[in-house]
Amino acid sequence: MGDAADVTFEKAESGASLTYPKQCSALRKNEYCLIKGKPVKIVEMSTSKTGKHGHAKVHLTGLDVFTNKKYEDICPSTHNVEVPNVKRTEYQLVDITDENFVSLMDDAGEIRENLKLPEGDLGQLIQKSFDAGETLVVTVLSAMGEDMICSHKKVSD
Amino acid sequence: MADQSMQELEHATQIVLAPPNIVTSEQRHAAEAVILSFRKTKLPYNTCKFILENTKSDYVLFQTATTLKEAIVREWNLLSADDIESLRSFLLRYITKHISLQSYVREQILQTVAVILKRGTLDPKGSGCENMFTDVTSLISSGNVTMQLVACSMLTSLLNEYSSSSRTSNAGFTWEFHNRCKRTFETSNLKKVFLFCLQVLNEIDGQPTPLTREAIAVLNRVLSITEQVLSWEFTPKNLMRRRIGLFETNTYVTLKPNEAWRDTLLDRNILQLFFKIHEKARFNSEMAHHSIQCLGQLASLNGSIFVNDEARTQYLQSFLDGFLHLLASIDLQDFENLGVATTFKNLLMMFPLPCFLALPDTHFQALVDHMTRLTCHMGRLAAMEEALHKDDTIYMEGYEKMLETWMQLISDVKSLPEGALKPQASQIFNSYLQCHISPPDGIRSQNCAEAGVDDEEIDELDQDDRDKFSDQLCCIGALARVIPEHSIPLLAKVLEERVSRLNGQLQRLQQQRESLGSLEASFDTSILNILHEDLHWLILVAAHVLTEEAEGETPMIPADIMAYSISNSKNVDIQTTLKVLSSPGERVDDIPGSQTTDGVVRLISAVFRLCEVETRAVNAQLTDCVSPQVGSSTMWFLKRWVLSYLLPDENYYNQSNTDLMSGYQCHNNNGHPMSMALQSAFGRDTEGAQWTINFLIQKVICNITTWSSEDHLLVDSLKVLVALLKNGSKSVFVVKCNLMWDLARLEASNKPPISLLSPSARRLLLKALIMAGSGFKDTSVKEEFWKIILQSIHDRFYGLLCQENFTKICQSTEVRESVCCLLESLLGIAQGTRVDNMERLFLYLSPFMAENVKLIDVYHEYETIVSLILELLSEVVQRHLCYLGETNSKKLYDICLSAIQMYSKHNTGKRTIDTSEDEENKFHDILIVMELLTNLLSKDFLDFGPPEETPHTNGQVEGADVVMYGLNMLVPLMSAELLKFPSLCSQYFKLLTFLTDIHPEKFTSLPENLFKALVASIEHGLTAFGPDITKMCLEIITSLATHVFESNLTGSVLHTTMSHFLKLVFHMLLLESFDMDLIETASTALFCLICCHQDQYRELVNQLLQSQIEEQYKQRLLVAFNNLTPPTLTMTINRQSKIAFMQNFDQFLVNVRGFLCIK
Repeated sequence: MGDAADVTFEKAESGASLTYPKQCSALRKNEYCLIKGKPVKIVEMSTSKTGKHGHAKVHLTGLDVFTNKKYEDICPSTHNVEVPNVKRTEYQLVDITDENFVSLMDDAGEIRENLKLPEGDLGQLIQKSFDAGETLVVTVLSAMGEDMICSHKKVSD
Repeated sequence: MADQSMQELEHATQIVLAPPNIVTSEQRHAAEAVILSFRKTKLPYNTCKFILENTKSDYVLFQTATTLKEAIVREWNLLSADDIESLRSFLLRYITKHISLQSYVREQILQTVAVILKRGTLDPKGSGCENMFTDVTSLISSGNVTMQLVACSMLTSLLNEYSSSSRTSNAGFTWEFHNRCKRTFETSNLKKVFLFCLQVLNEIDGQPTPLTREAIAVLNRVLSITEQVLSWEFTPKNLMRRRIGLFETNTYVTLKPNEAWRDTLLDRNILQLFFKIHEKARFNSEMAHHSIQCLGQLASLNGSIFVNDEARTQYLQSFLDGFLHLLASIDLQDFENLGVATTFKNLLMMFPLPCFLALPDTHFQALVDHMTRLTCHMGRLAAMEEALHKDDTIYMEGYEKMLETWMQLISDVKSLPEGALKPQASQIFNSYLQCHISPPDGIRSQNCAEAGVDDEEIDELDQDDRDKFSDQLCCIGALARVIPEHSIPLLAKVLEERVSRLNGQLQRLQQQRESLGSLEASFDTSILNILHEDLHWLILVAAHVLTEEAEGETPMIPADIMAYSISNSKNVDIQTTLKVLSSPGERVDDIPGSQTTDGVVRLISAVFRLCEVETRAVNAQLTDCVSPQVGSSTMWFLKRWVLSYLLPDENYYNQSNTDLMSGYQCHNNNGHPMSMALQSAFGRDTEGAQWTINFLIQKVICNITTWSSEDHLLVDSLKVLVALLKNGSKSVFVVKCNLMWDLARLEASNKPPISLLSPSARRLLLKALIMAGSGFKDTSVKEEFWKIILQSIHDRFYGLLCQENFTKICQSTEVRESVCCLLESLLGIAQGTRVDNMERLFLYLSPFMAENVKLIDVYHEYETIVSLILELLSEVVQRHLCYLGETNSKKLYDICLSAIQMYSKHNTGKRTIDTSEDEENKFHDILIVMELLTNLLSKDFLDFGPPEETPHTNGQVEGADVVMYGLNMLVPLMSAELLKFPSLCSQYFKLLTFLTDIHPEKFTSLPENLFKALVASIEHGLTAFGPDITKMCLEIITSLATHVFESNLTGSVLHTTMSHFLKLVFHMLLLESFDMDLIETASTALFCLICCHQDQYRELVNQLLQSQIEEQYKQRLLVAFNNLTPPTLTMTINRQSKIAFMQNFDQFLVNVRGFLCIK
């Protein structure tokens, strides 16, 4: 999979594929996988078996990393499931435009402006802190070619 | 006036009882206020009488009765003896006149009567229970069933009130008052109640069967009252200190009356009456329950009622006469089983074996025979109950009670004649085995297979049979060891037979598949499943027969097993035995002379044969036909077996001389030497043992390779490996097996299956490999072995981190997974730390830990990685710190400090979007940090580190400084909500306990907010989380108060805080229901607080004295306080004073808690 690392696409760090396979039993809670094609964070994982002498099956419950919608799946623990490449990147918040688009700066000083403030409490909190003139760092979560702001913190210095 | 009150009440009641959508909450509160204020009316007696006679509302009747009860207690002193007596007889008349009252109203009125009687118990104004008994007698003799039932209710409420238990109503009396009433009632009235019951029982006994409906109703109530009398917790002559101030009911009370009951209870006619009554009562489950409870209580009779053992034996004989006759003449109904089992258990618990042996032979024999018959009977039905997944487990409970009874009996088997109980033990063992294996030799219900229960979904949270049934398996194992000459060959035979059936079945399947040419060919699994279930149970039973639980002791070969192996030695051929052991691929019967195999070795080799069949099935690509459950059970068996049988320390067995033995822990060895067969098969330096080790390791490797998807099985397998290597002197032999090198290389390769291991399995594997290294005597070989594992991880770790583009790729999921995997491996390595490899491992691990601090920075967004890093640190601190010298300790402190700093940099003031699981994740981090901090303090307790030649004095980081830093960061992250997680809560207070104990001075200079938060949490902890946490908080307070006192910090914030704690602790100990087990800790805390604030203490004492209304109590309290701190007691904190105060305080509580605690 690393062979593609040298090819540079726009915005793609390593050109790594969006997903890769993994044996179901090796998944863990708090990690990611695809359920019904959606990238989810596994919030519950349990095993069961059919009959006392049956083989293990894995029950997965995951929350869509972008919509927080719940998905469930069940599969034999020897099977493979697809795992998305999920990334978190920190940016400094530079500006918030009228249409709730944000302007973000990465470590190298590059600016990106293609993201919106998240809806709900988090977006409001960010807006409020920003309006109060605080310096904010936001974390952007990327998976399956989609991006979203998922947390923020104030920078004290 | 009374009429008006009644109308008001009726109106209020309508509102209170109205559905929520009809009245507003203001209206409801107002109505409740009306009722409450009515309950406080002064002299309400006439009004109440009027209401009782006139109202139609049940709820108003109930409130009126309550009002009367409260008023009488409140205004007792204002009332004359006549007032009281007339009120009592009014209420009783009222009940008898209004027979159609709702039962809750009737009970409330009767309770009021009972409270009136109880209040008058110690008062000349009270009429005593005499009039009561007259009334009850006349009600009973009225011949009217309703009146008789009223009389019964009266007696029940009387027993409830006087029992001073949780059934007693809250009347605001002191504990001492309750207790004196109880004692008075016990001496003058309890027996009357009992005799009264006997009278009714005798009458009913005289009536023809079947009983009339009326008679049944009365009998049921009377039996219930009788049961209550026989379950009465008689007040002991000397008050038990820990019972003072408690109103709880003991769940298990034996019948222990005083001498006054001799003439009644020891009368054999009375026992006979109870057995006869049970025959009449047993057709109704409720009545049967009461009457069998009575029999059970009578079976527990003990104490001073018996003058001597002769009297005891005589009673036992009368009881058995009745009991055995009953058992012989009836077939138990389902609801009788538990009661009968309890009766057996109470007899065996309360009567010493010599009493049984003094009986005519036939009695003991008949008793044991009935026990055997019923044990097997209940066992069979319990198995059926289990197979049908019934919610009700009456048979299982009965069966377990019976087994407990047997444990009691066989613990004394040595005082019985040789060979006694053997036939019984065989029967019970056979029956248990039959219940758990399939026909034709077993009787396990096949219903499940037919009913499709095989397809039932089983959750990972469902308890494994080995845990769920461990109690009964233990008992069955112990019974089987009474008859090893029967149980062991039987188990071996059945197991061998099932294993070869499994083998045959698998071979057929393989042929079937080959002929169909497809792996996917479907087949019927029911036969396989039946075999698997048989094997699973046979393995569980075999494990419990061959090994005993050995918690905290060196696991040994049980003496009975050893004796069996030795006694058989003349029929045993060692060579054949070894041949049977070492050819698991052959059928035992095909080996010439196999009947001369040692029985124990043969049973073990049957388990090995099962392992072999599994392995062959896997090799033949029949993995899907193998049961992971059977695999798990087998591995669990082998772990237990390895610990006690493989490479035993012969010193524990060889010498029967007591002087040689005394140095060893040999709890179960009765001086048996090693058996020759076991010694040759599994002893140190034998080929047998070396073959076995090889076989086991091969099996473990096979499981790792095959079962990466079955975590339980993998973990159980790796536990076998750890068991093999756990003991240093045994591991010397284990590492002679070359497979250990293969396993190490397999790990180092980090390819599947190793790369697929679950975290817990990976840790166990690394732990085992590290421990294996210690087994090599030759240093260079040892180093070579370790190098394979350690170097590979080192290379992978740095290979990953030192990549040029690491900062670019570090966030990719694959890299993160590799990091997790490496951290898990390092954790396993840390867990394999022993004194002999500690130095080597610290040298190895410390660079990783320094590197990890940077990883916290890189991966601060990923809780899993951060948690693992912190966990690794905590593990190393826990296992290494106390052995480190000063330089290395400092190094470790520095690493911890920077790790905590890094953690705090990223976690302070952070908010995350997903609230659902956020708390639990955070909670896990925090728990680990807290564990780390606690472990950091351990060096102040325990330090084996070598002294250093040139101690560093400047710039020294102390453990406590790191901890204070960490605490400062953690406390703001903690919330009262988080303390509700028990593990977090106990870890938090444990940390504070350690810290205040070693470094109380750190608490004088804390930032204000931190200090306030800490104090608030301690205050909360004193009462909110149960005795363990209360104890820790008291210890924290003791340490802080001692520091304030000794360093003379008068006027400091800490000093002021102690004043607050003094008030809290003072109230808690004196006025609240408080766990007397904590007396030592609590008294010390109180003493230290008093030393800090003597003036305030005097003030508190004065307040408490002023609040006492009764002069008598005030006087007693004053005297008690004077004795608590007599002039001879110096108010300085030292050992002598603390002990003196503790003794005084103990006496103080005995004297005053009785009237300070109120119910």
